[in-house]
Amino acid sequence: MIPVLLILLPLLTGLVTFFIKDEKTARSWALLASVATLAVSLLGLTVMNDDTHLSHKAQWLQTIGSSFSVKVDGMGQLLCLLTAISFPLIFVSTWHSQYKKANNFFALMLLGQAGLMGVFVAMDALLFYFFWELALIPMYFLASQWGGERRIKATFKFFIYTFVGSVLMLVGILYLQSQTPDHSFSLQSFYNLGLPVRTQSWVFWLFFVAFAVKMPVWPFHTWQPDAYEQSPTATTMVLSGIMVKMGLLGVIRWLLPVLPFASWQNGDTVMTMAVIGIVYASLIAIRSDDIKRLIAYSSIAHIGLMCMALFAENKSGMQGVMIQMFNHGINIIGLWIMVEVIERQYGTRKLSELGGLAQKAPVMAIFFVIVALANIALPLTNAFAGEFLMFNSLLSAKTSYLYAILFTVFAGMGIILAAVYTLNMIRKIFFGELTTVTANAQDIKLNEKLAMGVIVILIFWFGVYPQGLLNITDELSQVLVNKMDISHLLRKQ
Amino acid sequence: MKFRNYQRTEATGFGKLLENKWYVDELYDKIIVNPLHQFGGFLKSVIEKSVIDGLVNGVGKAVTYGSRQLRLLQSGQAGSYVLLMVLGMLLVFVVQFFLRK
Amino acid sequence: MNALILSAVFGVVMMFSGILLKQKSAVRNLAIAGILLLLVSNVLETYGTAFFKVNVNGMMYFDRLALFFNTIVFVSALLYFLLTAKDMEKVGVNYAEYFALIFFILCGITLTSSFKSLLILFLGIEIISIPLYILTGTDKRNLKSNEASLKYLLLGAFSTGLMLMGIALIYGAKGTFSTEGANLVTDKPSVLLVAGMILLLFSMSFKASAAPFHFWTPDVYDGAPTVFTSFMATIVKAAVFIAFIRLFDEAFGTLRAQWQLWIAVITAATLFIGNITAVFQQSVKRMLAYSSIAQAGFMLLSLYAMNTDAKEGILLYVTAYSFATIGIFAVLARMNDYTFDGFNGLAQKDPLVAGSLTVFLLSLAGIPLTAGFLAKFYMLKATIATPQGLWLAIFAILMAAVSVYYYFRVIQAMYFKEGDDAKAPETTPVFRGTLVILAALVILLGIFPDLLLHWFYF
Repeated sequence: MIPVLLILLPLLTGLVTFFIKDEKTARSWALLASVATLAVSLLGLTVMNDDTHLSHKAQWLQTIGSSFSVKVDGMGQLLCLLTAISFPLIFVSTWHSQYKKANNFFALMLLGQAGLMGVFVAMDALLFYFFWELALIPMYFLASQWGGERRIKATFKFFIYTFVGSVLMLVGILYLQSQTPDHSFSLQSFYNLGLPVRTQSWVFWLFFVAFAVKMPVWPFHTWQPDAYEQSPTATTMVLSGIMVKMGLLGVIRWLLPVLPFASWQNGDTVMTMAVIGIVYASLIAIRSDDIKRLIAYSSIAHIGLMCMALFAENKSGMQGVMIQMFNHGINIIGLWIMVEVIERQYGTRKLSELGGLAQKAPVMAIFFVIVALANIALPLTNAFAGEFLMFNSLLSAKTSYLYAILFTVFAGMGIILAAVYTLNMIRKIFFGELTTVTANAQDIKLNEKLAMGVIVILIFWFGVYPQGLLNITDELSQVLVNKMDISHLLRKQ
Repeated sequence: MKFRNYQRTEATGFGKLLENKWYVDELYDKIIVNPLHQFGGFLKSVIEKSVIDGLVNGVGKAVTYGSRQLRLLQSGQAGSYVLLMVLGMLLVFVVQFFLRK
Repeated sequence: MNALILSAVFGVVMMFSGILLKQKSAVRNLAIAGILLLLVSNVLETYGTAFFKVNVNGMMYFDRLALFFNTIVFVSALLYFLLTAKDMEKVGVNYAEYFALIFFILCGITLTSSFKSLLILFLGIEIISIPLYILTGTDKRNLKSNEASLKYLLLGAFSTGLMLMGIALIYGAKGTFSTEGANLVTDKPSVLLVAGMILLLFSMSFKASAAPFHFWTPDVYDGAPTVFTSFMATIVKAAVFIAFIRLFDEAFGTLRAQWQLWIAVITAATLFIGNITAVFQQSVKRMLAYSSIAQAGFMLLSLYAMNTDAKEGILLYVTAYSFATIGIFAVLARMNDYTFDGFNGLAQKDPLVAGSLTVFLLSLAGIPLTAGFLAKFYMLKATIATPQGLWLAIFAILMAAVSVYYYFRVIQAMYFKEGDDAKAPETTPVFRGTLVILAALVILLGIFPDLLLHWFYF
């Protein structure tokens, strides 16, 4: 029941929103709808957290072996919760942003939420693909209609790029389905496939490219800075906070356990790509003047680390990534909220034009510093536990010893560089001389304080007590790691 | 005489080294910060823009280029259409009856 | 049989209606009534009520596939009439005759969907083609229309010649026109038979506008009056495909080793040329002409695979493609400016029409939740199930990704660009309503394709 509600609630309320002509009403309605979704998600997490409530299966396209099968597993819990928390935060923090035809904007946002929820709970490959594309369409419209100057081109590139990736995945899905004995698209049948090694290695790339574009992993990332920069900030929050997790979830649920041989075989290649991405993106971030682009590149580095930890193929990596997906989402949305405030108030995102804001806007400065520190995973902030687990996993990665150390060292460089560009950003925005732009600056408004307050609470809560997140993901990550274990598979053959 | 005591003088030799904290900051800037900065700039303006994104955009450009060239086949002349069709048919017949086994 | 005879009769009725009925709306309503009658009689026959009992000597066979396909055609034709019949008035003075010609084409379609003899196939194809030559040239004072008509006639005659030659060779090899006997052929087919089959492959490829026999398509589709391009590109194309499938399944099923490679080559070439050339077009009408070539490439995949999924899939595909394309052409026929810029800012002027168009375009591009996605999905699934189909499937899907480029240009123009009001098409509430219903159908089929495919079996 819970997963169905998580999809249907935003979907239906979103469709209704198209017909609300009054801007204020549409805004409130969207907020109300997203809060209701959050309530459902929390309900699923706390009270109704047994299998009967968390999974649902209905007949759909039976003739071709598909079914409407949804389930909220441990990872699903976290990602659904992230999605459910994010939307109210986004709506509240952008309460004063003006949109032409606001009803369409909010309707598309909610439809996007429905699509994302669907991706996170789908347990059937065809259904998964359905939602995978559906989440993309509203985002495309949002970014192209309400974005910046070069929005049409940037968004279109983003769309085509991800579309090419996902159609290749469709071929992969169809191929796997044709290989299952019962000709079924269900996740369970895919898990039981046990394909021969040679087949696995090329099917792997069909899937991986789709996920790599979405995450994005170097060198498939060039759509991302442009898309983040050109989208309206509310959409950027969805793209960077939630949507990139689709790629990671894809790897965790649909790639590693389905094609364990190939994942092991190509692990070094993928990890090398990811580690290049970390250093590469961090260095570019250091040289970025536009805050949006800086955060975009920083996000590439963070995701790169998560991708590496996944291909380390052990439990601490798996679990670290799962909780980091949640925490990264919270943190980056916090960063975007601050960027939105800065851009709306001062009309610029250029670091070189900002300065001295700490004197004028002390509350904003405090919030910004906390979120920024969480972004570099300082202890006591939420990102620390995940980062720790991930580095732990890198050291014990299933690769040669030399590689493991090299990977860890370079990934560690990413952390140092992250500190460099983050602190640099804080220094340039908040300290130093006031500029003409910031001379008449005001502090942040109540709605922004509210949203940031929630984020800061979450940062410290999960920073001090990560156990809650770990408990949710513990069982699932063990199960997945067992499925990836190829020595166990070798014995079976 | 007194004035000289207050006048700022350039320290020499070892004193200068000490005054500049062993030049650690400068050394650090020279060896690590500047090269990284420059490398970052190189990545940003050359590799990212021209190489990686250039490749991605190149695919798009290749498609448009191909489109412009392929369009020329559509000359509007019925005669050339028939010619092309006949050539295609000949090819099929030759391959089917003489080359395929 | 019901539909075959009634459509021929109605063709004649429509010819006389031009003299007897003074009002154009009366003519139009008569035509709509006629198509409804065809639809009902065909559905009745599906469930066992045949009005006419004619001994056809085994030359035709009204099986489930044929009748079901006819139903799809008549529903599409009904929607086509509802959306575009009014715009035919603008083409010329012979309003009633246009309908008459269309009913004759429908008569030809019932032949091509149910032939058991190569002669009937030939008759069907010709009965479809000859009225089309005329319809293409109906805009008499427009040079482009004349040129297109003549070109179509000349090239069409060429393909007719190929087909006749092919049929003659097959008759020489087997001594019968029936498609049944051919299945007896075993391991070593005679050269005559294979040559005949390849000639038929060429001529059917011509009619289906598959490369390298597609050259007539852009010129003819572009030159013909838009209302008739719509009919040609959708319903007629669907009919050709059903004939194509039947022919190669029933008559040449055992020769598969001989033709499968050629179908693969033709499919790949069609997909490539259709999609790539469409990218650079400046006129939406011409873009749709190339898109129809590209979509034909996808439909050819069903011919390549020729399994259950392929046969179900082609029915879904022609439905999805026809519905979407009829909808787009219906709007296009009312536009004053056929370039992409003509669509600028349509979403502000007419959100319902723009929304429906978006659904149609998404369907053609194969985005989930629309019928077009599942149609493509069936094609790919069928292709991947064949031993060597994987590369073809990957190629096809990459070409589908290219198609997103040109379909989305229309969406971008409608939603993200500002346009002047004068260019927006004039629409009536009925037109908008029908368009929205059509869009709803496209989405409904995109979620529950079984609604359609279910009828195929029951």
